[in-house]
Amino acid sequence: MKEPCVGISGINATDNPGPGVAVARGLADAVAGIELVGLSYDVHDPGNYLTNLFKNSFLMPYPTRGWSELRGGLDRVRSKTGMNVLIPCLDVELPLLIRHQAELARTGIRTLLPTEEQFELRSKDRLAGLAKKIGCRYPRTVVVHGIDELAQKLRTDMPLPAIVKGKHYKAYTVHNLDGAVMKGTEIAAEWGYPLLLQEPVPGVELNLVGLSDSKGRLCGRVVIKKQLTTHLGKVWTAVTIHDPELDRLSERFCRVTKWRGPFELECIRGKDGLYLIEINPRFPAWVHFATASGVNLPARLLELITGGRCAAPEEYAAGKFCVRQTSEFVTDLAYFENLLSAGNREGA
Amino acid sequence: MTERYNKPSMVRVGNPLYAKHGSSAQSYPLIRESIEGAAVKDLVRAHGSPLFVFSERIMREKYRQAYDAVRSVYPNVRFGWSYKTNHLSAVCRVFHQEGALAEVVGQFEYEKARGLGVPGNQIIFNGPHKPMAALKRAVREGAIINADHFNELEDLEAAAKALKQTVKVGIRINLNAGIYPIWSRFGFNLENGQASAAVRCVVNSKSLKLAGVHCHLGTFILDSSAYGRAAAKLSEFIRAAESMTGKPIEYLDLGGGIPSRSHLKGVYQPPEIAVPGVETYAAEMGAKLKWLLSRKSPPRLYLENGRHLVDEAGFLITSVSADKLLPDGRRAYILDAGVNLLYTSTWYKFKIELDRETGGVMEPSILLGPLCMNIDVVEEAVLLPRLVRGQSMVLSPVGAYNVAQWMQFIQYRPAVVMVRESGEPVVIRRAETLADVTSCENDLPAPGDAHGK
Amino acid sequence: MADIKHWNLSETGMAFDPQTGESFQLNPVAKAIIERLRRGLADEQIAAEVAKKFGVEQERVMTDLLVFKAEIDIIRSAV
Repeated sequence: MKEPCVGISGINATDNPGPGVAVARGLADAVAGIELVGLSYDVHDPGNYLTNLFKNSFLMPYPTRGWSELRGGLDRVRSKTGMNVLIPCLDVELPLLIRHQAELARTGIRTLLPTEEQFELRSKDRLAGLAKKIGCRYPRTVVVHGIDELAQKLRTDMPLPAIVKGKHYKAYTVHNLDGAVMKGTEIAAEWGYPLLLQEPVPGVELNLVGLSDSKGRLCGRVVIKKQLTTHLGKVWTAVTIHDPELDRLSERFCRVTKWRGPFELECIRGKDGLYLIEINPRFPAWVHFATASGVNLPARLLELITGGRCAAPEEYAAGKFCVRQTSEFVTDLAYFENLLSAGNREGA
Repeated sequence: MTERYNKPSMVRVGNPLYAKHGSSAQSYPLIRESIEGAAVKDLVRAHGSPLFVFSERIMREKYRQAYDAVRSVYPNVRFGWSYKTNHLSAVCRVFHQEGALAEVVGQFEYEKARGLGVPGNQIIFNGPHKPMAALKRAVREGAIINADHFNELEDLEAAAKALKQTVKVGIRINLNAGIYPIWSRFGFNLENGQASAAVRCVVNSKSLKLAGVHCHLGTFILDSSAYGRAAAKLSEFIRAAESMTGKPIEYLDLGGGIPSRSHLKGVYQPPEIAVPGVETYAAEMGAKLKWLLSRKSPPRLYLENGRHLVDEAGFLITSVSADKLLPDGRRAYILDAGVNLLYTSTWYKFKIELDRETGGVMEPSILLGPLCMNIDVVEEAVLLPRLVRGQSMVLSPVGAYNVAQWMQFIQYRPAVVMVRESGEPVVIRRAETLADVTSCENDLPAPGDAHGK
Repeated sequence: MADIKHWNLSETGMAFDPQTGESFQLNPVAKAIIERLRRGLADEQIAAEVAKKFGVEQERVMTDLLVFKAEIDIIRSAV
């Protein structure tokens, strides 16, 4: 295919960052002069203003408005930039893109996304079943469809403290009924039902970022332990580690599900072994840590998308240390105005 | 070329509504100039605004798609058209023509079905309140009656005695299918043994015969597997009931509740993602009812569909009566249709399509109805270009429940048009007049002196 | 009414108030009006010029102008 021009979403590199900017950095590191386009849902997303990384950045219609609008937005980006690869990095846009990936390919936009079935397998209300299939423990979890039911389950089925989770986003540890109702209401107001109640597993949280080639092969992985996190649970400092059991789990995950594309396994090493907590169907926000440790998964993903195969898995050293720093830069208000009035940074 | 003139419009960047709903650059107004080939402006010119418009084609298409989906997993199935969802005669007739029975939940609906020529034995009679007279008529006419409570079993027993005949009865069951809320106020509870007690009452009665079991889980059920769980529990119950009666049941009725592609408030994903296809529901039921298919004559399966069949076939054309700027910076449009016609606006976000391109900046807007009531809000927050007075917009889907729960309050109820499959728009309910409203009344005052005289 | 003499107007219809840091998005008619308000033109003259620019009647623009001027402060202060 001709030179790739890669659209990347999730460029909200804020205090609760999306992975998009980290993915872009990986690609820019690997392919000199690669054309990258930012896809954003908010004019304030920092990625919109990274002129050295993205040749342009576009505001997209919200996925909640449905496929015809999102497709319209992608068409506009494609016609203005020649975008021919798309790496979506946000959970909420995945269901629509997954369903319509064949149509995207027909319009000349290539992706590597899980199938609908794979995507559903790791939905939080079905994860227990998948954990069993790939031979991993899973904390006790109940699904609730309303606040009354949540309160009732906490009175009868589920001991406190517990973790209240949204089906897509947000998780809070709650220590009493009032707190659970408050947090549950907050999550449901934003993301709807169902909610999940999960028993906390004491232990060390481990995260693995991986890439699977759709034939069941793991194309690379890095395991980290978060040392310090922000109040939203995002990495502040972390170290790379080697965990053979988690490595094997990721290989089994790829083999059993024939997963297509990037993923993140969130696990806890409890007293009695490894627990699977969550599987994210995309790169995590900290994916640049893997890149900088020597395993450039965004670059491998691009190879898979454009060539159907990628270089052999890279190794990394344990004990690399990752620090998130926040910093500011000054840019031109015209970019902000262009985004608002023309829908893209360059006013194209 | 001179630019198009629109009223001046200015939006503060950072308005919280704006931030939440995106900017002009990422949100484009949806435009709809016609419904099933009939131009919106022609419809308004001919029939006024507001105006409900139904598509015959979509109704038939939805029916056939759903029916084929269920028939392919359980051949002995009939649909009962849910009159409460929309009892307009023309709408009912379309579904009856497609093969649907009538599913009614009260005396009025029973009489309406009979009035449309539906024979008694083609009517499923449900509901918690069946007056004795209606019940007797239904018994006499051989309707399929699903009893809601023990008192109704007593009433049926009395009706049987009075009419000197045996009465076939189905019992409505409520159960925990893993969804919330459980509609436990209808029928007999399965888990606590009430449902078995009801079967024992029927067995014990000389004049009652158990014909079937009925279960309606709720409304707009997005979790298709709930139907599988309900079908599995009902299967167990059928086995137990049949061992008590010694006879196979004639039917099981899994009720309604299958959603339409409507955007439930609080659900982020669009309906195309959030709402499973009807085939998914059919597959869930089919898998758990397979065991019945090995019988020589498997019991009939009834489904009572309403919303799923008609919601997406209904559109409301409404027009901008006035606009104003609210103190919070929102542009408010006063429409000629409000919650008086859109009962479902409480739960669903309608698709809003404008009748024309107007261009310009998208403003955070609120759509208000015509009632002199603070609660009359059709859409709280939506980005719209500056609309012109008198211009129309099309709200959808509105085919379910609105033309049923609408009210004559402050405003008259508007006309309803059906666009036939031929493309011809035909009035299926004319607009209400003063005479319609006053014809039930008695004007009274005359005798007696006015106060103080 | 707000002191809009200092506002910066961009070609794309954005206005920036350097005294408050607020940004506003304007449609073409609002932009044409603000440009003229900034120059201190009288209402009648603004209406006449805008009417000519957009090919509509001056009376119509005058009404819209008066309403708009009252709206500017509401929009600026809305939170």
